Amino acid sequence: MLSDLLLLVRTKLEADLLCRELECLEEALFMTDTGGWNEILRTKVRLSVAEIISYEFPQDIEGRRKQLRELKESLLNLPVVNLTLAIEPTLDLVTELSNHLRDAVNAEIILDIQSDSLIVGGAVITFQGRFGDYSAASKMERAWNENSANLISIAYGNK
Amino acid sequence: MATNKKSSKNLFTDYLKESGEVGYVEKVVSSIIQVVGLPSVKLGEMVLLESGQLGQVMCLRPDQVEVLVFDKEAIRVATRVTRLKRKLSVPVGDWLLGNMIDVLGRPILGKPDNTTSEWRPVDISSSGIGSRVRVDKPFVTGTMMVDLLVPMGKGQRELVLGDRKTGKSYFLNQTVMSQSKEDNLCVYAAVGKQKTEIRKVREFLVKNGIAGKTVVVAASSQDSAGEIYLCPYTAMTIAEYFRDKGHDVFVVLDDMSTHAKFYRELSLLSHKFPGRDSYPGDIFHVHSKLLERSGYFKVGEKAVAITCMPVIETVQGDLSGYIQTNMMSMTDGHIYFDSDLYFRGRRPAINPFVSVTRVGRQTQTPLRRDAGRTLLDLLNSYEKTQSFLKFGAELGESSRQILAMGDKILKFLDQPIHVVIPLNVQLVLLALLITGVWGGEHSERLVEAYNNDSVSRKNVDDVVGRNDAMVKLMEDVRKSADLWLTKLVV
Repeated sequence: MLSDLLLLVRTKLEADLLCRELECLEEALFMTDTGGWNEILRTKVRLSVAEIISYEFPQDIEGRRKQLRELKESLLNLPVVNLTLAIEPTLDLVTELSNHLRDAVNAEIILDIQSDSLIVGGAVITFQGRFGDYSAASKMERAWNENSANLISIAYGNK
Repeated sequence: MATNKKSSKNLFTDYLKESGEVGYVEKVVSSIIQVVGLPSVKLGEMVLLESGQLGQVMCLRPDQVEVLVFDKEAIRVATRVTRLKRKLSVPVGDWLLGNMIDVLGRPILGKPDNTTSEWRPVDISSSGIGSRVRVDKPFVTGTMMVDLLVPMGKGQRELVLGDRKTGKSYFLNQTVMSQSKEDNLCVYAAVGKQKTEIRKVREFLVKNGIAGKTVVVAASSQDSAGEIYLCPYTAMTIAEYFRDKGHDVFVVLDDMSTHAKFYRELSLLSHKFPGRDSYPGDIFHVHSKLLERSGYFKVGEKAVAITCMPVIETVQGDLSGYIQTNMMSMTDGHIYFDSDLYFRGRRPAINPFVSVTRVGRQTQTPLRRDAGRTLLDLLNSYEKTQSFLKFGAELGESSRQILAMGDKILKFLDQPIHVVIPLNVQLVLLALLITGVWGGEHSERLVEAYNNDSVSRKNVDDVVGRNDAMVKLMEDVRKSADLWLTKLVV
């Protein structure tokens, strides 16, 4: 059940959103109005999430509280890949990247995507303390450092 | 400022690309930050923060890295951190002489050096016994009280302890001056001192023309706890550099009680289990590991010394405190500055009966050893006889003579701050005093003659050289009393 919900989360933003929804539901547990839980599910929680919760969550307050706590804990501990791209990624690209990483690395992995046009192309990736700069800017810089004399002479024709 | 920020950002990016590892600040507690990430970082390694500060890895936990930051600027949570892939090191070179530097080797006063190619790790293990030699050369402090009664050898570690404002710093300055005159180099570590005190030390060095032979490593009380903790290590690293170049070095660690306090602060902040007086369990190890780096070493064919004087401040003359006793046990003796003597007007206010030297006497000639013994006997008798005075007892002729001699000796040992007395001159003056040929005034005249006149120097060196006992020396100077009096009395 939990894994169904976690599969819906592909990015850090989505994880934060789900976390906020769960907090709203947690507040509903302590409302005196017995219809509060369903009201929150209807008005403040996304349909896809609400469906899973209403089918899978236990009916007693204590059971719901325990499930919510476990779910929030799991969300906070999801492994995050920080990704800096030169463009704002489309939804399809995010899905594709997420699916690829989940197949290749870890089924629970989520993405924290930032965009920075200065990197020109490629990506800068940080994961579990490891840092990799696979950007076009850094490759160009390296190429310039290695061949600056040649490039200048080609450009100005002073060979 | 903007340019600095930009350049530190660029530097950070370069190191980040090179190391390929990043961490994020999770918690900030004073000078200590907790970082998540940096999976392959090593203990003692340097790290660089995105905001430009440098730090050293102090502790590795399964999910966190604890870093000591050498900066007082505020650090934000979530700041990125990267590895520098090298142990904490400082730049070294001859350019250090005459400079005042901070604990990371950056000049505070004096010219920065951009040609430095040598960097030395700050925290290293001391050399083993195989690279050490027996302490067999005298170390001249230039203070008669110490050179005659608590003699030191080159490579000795002698603790200087006493209450605040009892003349410890004057004595240390005098020793620095004496060592500089002998062409040795000095490293002065100001550990958590006030800026005005650091400036005073610097002014003393400049005023006496010895700044060019000294390096001051300064961490003021306004610096971060990390910098204060690191200060003596940097000083010792610099001393080791000059030792390896063949120079005898004198290191002053002023003062180690402040160092212990700041180390305690850092340890408590990083949740190390507190022991006696809340100091961490490894405080002895921290200090002894540092002091073991001084000594008398074989460098090539030569024997070269790092003589070290750590300073400890006592409270109301209490010698039984935790740090005091620790330091006493890891040094080769101690010189105790007595506040009672200071207030009675003795300068230097060293108490010779409480002070100890463990290896200094083995460096002395038989004559010097005999002179020290004679002087101590005289002072002992003086103290004993003085205690009778308290009972209002009527004194006999011999007691009166002892008291008169004691007064003369105390006057003789009362040495002006800027006068450094060579060892041989000390012996001749003592012999002249005890024989009654000389009254104890104007000792600086013989020092001046010794320093400037080759004939006088020869006279002094000859008379000391041809006698091997104090009785013989006294007899010798009595015979040539006129010669000495012409130099002492104008």
